Amino acid sequence: MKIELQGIVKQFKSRRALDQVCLTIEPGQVVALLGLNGAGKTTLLRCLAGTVAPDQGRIVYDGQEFVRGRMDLRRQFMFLPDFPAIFEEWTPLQHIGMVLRLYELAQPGVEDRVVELLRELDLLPLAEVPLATLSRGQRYKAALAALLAVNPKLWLVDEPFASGMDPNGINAFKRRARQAAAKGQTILYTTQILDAAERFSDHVCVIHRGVIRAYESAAELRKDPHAATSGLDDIFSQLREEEVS
Amino acid sequence: MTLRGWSFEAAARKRVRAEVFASESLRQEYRLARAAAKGRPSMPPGVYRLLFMGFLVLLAVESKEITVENVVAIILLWTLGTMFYQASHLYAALYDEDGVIVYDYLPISDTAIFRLQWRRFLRGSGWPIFDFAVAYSVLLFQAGLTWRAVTGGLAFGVVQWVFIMATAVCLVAFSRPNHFTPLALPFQFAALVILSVGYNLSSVCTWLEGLAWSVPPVGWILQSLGVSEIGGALQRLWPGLASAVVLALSPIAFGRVRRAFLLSEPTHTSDGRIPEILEFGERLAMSPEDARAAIQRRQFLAGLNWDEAGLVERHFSRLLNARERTVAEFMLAAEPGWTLRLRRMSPFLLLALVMPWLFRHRWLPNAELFLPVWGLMGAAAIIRTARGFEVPPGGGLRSPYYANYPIEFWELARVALKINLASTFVLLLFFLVLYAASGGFQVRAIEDGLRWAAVAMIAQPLLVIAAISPRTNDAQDRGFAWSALALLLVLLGGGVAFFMAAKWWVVALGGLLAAGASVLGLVLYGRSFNRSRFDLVPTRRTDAD
Repeated sequence: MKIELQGIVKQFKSRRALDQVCLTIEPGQVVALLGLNGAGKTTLLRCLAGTVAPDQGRIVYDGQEFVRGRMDLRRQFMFLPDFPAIFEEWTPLQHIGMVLRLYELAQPGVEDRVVELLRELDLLPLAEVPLATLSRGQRYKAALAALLAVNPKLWLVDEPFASGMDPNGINAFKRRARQAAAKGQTILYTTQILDAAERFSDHVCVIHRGVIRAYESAAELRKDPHAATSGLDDIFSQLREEEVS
Repeated sequence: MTLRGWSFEAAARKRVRAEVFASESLRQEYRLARAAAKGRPSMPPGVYRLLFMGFLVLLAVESKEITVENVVAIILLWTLGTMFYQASHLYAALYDEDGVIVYDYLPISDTAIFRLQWRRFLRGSGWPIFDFAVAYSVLLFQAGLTWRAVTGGLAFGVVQWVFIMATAVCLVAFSRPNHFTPLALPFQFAALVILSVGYNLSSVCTWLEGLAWSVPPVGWILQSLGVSEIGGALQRLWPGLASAVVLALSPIAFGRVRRAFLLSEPTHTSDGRIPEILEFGERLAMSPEDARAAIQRRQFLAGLNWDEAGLVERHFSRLLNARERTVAEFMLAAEPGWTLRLRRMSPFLLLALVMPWLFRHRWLPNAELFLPVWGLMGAAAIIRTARGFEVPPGGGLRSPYYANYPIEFWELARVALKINLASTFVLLLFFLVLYAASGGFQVRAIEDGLRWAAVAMIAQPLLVIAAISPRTNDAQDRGFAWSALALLLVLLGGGVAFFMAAKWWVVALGGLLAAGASVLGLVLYGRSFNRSRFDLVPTRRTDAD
C-alpha cells in the first residue's frame, strides 16, 4: 500500500506534535520510525490509524484520501499499539477469531493459517488460556498473531522490539514482515533501538519535534553529509546536542 | 513509614531548576509546560459539594420552602448513601489502589502499608463533616437557633462523621464489598430528589423522618434535639442502643479488616496479573495436538450462539444482523448475561412489586418513592456497560477498544441504540407493572408514565453520544462545542414544553423538537466522527507522544 502524508499538522496546545509532515512511502517497504521521546512517532502512527485527527493536511492511501469513515481503507490496515487493545478475559483464540470477524476474513481455510501462526509464536498450547494469565510478551504475541492472520496491506506497529516479546517472537515478526513486504505490503513500525532499525528496515524515517528530519535507507543515511561521520548514533547525538543547546 | 524525603526533594528541585534556567530551550519548554498545566480545566470536587450545600442553605434561609422534615429526610438519605460510599472507598484504599500494588513490591511491611492506606482513607474521608455540619446547622436554624446553629451543626457533623466511619468499617468487615457502590448511589440520588422537589413530597419526608430514628446516630441526635416524636419505651431506647452497638462493634470490625489485609497475599504480580488466575490459566494450557484440533473445529470463528444464550438474548439478537452481532459481541466483550442477571434480580424485583402494595395503606404514603430506588436497581440488573467503549489498560494515552478495529460509527451507533432500546423496553415494562402495584393507574399517572417513556426514547441517540464522547476530545473544537450547546438548548426547550405545556399541540411540538434535536445531534456527531474532526483519545491539547 502506498502512503502519502501531505502537510500533516497536529497541534497540541503548547506545541506542534506534527509540523507539516510530508512523506511518501512506496508499497513493499519496511519503514522504521525513529525519534527521541516525545518526537511525535506515536502521534504520527495514530494519525495514520485514524485515532488521532490531523488539524491540517491529508493522509492518502493508494491515491485515496483516508478519513475515519472510509471503512474500505480502514480494513486494509491494522494498528498494533505497544499495549494492544485486547480484552484480558478472552483467550488468544477468541481474540484472533474476533479480529478476523471484524475484518470479515473468517473464510474457510483461515484456521490452518491460525494454527501455523500460533505454532510459530509458541502460543499453540496457550490458545485457550485467558490473556489475563499470560505475560506481557505473550499478550503482544497474541495481538501480533491476529495481525498476521488478517495480514493487512499496511501494518502500523508501535514499538514491536520493546513489547516484551522473546527473541522467537521478534524473529517471527521480522520474518513475516519481510514476507509481507515482498508481496507489496507496507510495514511501518516505531522503535527506539537504533541497531534494530538499521538492520531491519528498507527505510529509516527520523522524526524530531514533529518534523521529518530524514527519510533514507539505512545505507544512504550513513552517507548523509549532515550526519557527521556515520550511523544513526551520530544523528541522534546531533539531535541531542540541538535539544540541549 | 515516610514516603517522601522532603529535604531530598527540595535539594533535587533546586538542582533541576538551576539546570533548566541555564538553558534557553529548557527554559522555554518549562514555561510552555507550566502554562499548559495551568490551562487544564478542572473543577475540584469540593466545588460541587459547596454548590450542593449552598443550595440547601439558600433554600432554608431564603425561600422557606424547606421544612424540618425535608432536612431530616435529606440527612437520613445522605447518611445511608455516605456510609456505603465510604465503605466502598475504604475497600478501594486497601485493595484496589495502584499504590497498594506498588507497595507490595517494595520492602515495606504489610502493617505499614495498612497504616498508610488507612490514614490515606481517613484524610480523603473528611468531607462528610462539612456536609452534615451544614445540614445540621440548617436543621438547628429551622428549629429556631440562630448563630449557635453553626457551632451546634459543626459538633453534630463531627459526631455524624465518627459514626459513618465506624459503620463503613463494620460494612467492610462483615459484608460483601461489591454491593457498596450500587447501594450508595440510590440513597444519594434520592437525597438529591428530596433536596430538589422535597417541598412537594411532604408526606414522603414525614415518612422518612419517622424512619430516621432507627439509623444511628441520626435518631440519637434527633432524639436529643427533641425533633422526632417517638412512642414506646423500646423506640425511645433504640437510637441510643443502636449507636452504642455501632461504636462497640467498630474496634472489632477494624481488627478484622486489619487481619484480613495482613493475611491476604499480594493480589497482583509485578506486571499486574493475579496469582489465582495464573494458576487457573496454567490448568487450561493444552497440548499442541488438542489445540490444533480445537482450532480446526472453527468454533473460535463462530461467535456467540445467541439462541442458546438465554431468553432475553435470543429475542434481542433478532434485532441484529450478522455484522451487528459481531460488533455487539466485541463491544460487550463477554456473553451478555442479561437473562441470568434478570433471573438473579427477580427476587428483588418481586419485592419491589410487593412492598408498595403491602404498605400503601399503612405507613407508606407515597409508594412512588420506591420508583427511583428500584428503577436504579432494575437498570443495574439489566444494563451492562459495553466494554468496547472503555479504554484498555496500559501506559500513556489510550484509544478505546473499538477505535483499534475497523468498526464504523453507524455500526457502533446502531448496536448501542439497539442494546439501549432493548434495556429501556424491559425497564419500561417493569415500571408499568410497578405503577400498577403501587396503585398509580390514574389518568395523571398514566400521562406522566407515557411522558417519561417518551423521554427515555428521545434520549436514546444522546446515550450513544454519551458512550463515545468521554473517550474523545470532541469538545475542544469551539465550533463543535457551540453546535452542541445550541442543540442542547433546543433539546431542553423542547423538553420543558413537552413536560410543562397544557395544550396538546404544544406538548407534541415540544416532543418533536426535542426528538429532532436528539436525532440531529447523533447525525452531526456521526458526520464529525467519520470525517476525523476529533481524536479518539481523551487528549487535552497538552498531551502528546
